[in-house]
Amino acid sequence: MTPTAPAGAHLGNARHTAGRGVSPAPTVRDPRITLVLVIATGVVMSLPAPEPFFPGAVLLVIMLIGIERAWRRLAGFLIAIAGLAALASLLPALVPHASTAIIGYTAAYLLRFVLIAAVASHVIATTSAAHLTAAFRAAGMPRAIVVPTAVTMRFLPVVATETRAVWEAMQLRGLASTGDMLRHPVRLIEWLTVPVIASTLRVGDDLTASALLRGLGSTSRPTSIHPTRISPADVLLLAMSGVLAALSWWLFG
Amino acid sequence: MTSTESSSRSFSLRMSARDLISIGIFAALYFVLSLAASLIGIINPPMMIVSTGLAIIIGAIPFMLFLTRVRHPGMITLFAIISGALYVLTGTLLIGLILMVGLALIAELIVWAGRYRSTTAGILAYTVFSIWFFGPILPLLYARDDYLSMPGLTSAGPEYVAGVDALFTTPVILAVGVGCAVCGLIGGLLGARVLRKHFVRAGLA
Repeated sequence: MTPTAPAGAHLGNARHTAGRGVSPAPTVRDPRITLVLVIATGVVMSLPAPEPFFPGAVLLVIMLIGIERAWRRLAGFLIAIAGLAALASLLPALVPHASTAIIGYTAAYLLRFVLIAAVASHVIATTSAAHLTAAFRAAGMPRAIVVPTAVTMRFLPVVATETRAVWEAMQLRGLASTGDMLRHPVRLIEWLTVPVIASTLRVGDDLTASALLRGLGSTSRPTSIHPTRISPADVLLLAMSGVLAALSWWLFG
Repeated sequence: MTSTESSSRSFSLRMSARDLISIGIFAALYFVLSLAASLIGIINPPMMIVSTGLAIIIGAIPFMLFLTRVRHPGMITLFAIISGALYVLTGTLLIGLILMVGLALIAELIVWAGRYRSTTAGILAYTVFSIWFFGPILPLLYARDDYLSMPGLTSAGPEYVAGVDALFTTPVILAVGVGCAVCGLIGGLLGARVLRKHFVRAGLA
């Protein structure tokens, strides 16, 4: 998901730099604002009939991923959105049949998740663990939420990389065929999860020691090199998103 | 590990930094492993049911290990808030997160009653916690008409809507919830076995 570096690339030195991401580029918005946008998208998409908001959400996605200039990811999401929208609206109309109707329904259902994922991808790509921690603290979140959230954000790529590595090793040894999956699902689960958990915990022990030494979880409030302030650009972004939502509702709702 | 001794004697919600870090790590493990399993179900709706069961069972293994590594009041609730928030970020309906945190509080009570040591309590706690997986179809219970009049559904024709209406009756929806709990029980039993077989032996539990 991260366009900057493959998740495994920084695994080697990750133990020493954990929680200290690259300094945010000037185009990065306050994480509080972008998180609010993700939550708002999530709430709108969980409405029973979110379809009127689809065009507005697509514009929001273009705006957000355009800010970080991740054109390839933007293109990927737009192709996925266009494909699903075509399946959802054109296919059942062109070929009226029960099977195309089911495909269309599934596509419409998946579309909302793709839209949320696209908005969330902006937060994941632009927010380092340190940046997120500072933003959470600035928003007055308790330490019991801030610390585990930062650790989780830091560990998602680790777990994903380990899972992929173990899965590839299993395939290489012919242990992950579809037949095995159907005949011995439990054995397969065991073979996959045990090495993933064991190696993640090993990385985790190192991280715990180094993070504690650097004062993570101390009760005093740390200062940040990049103080989180809501800039006029953040307000503008939030206002434009609000206008998009209102327009969608007024035009199509 | 030393903090667990004092926590079992006095009730306190204040966690050590070590515990908070462990919660973060296990939330990441639970989220990635169960999401990987449920992604299999994105192909078509029938596979969705199989993959949800698989996701519940896979998630049990990190969960059962988690219970032996933290042992502090509030651990499951925090775990649920973080992994639930991640699920919302990937597009699970918000009701899933609310259900998850509510069930986590019940699971917390069960584990607490077992003094954070009992394996049986751990298995029961996971059984209760797993019921959250049926959150996404809950709107059929409280907003049925809105759900059935979604344009995506009605474009499939009145027979299809009638089919969905007939298939997802209240007993069927409740049966899905019971199915989640059964998968949770199977997962909990498997998790306890894997714990004994691998993690205790390797000194990780």
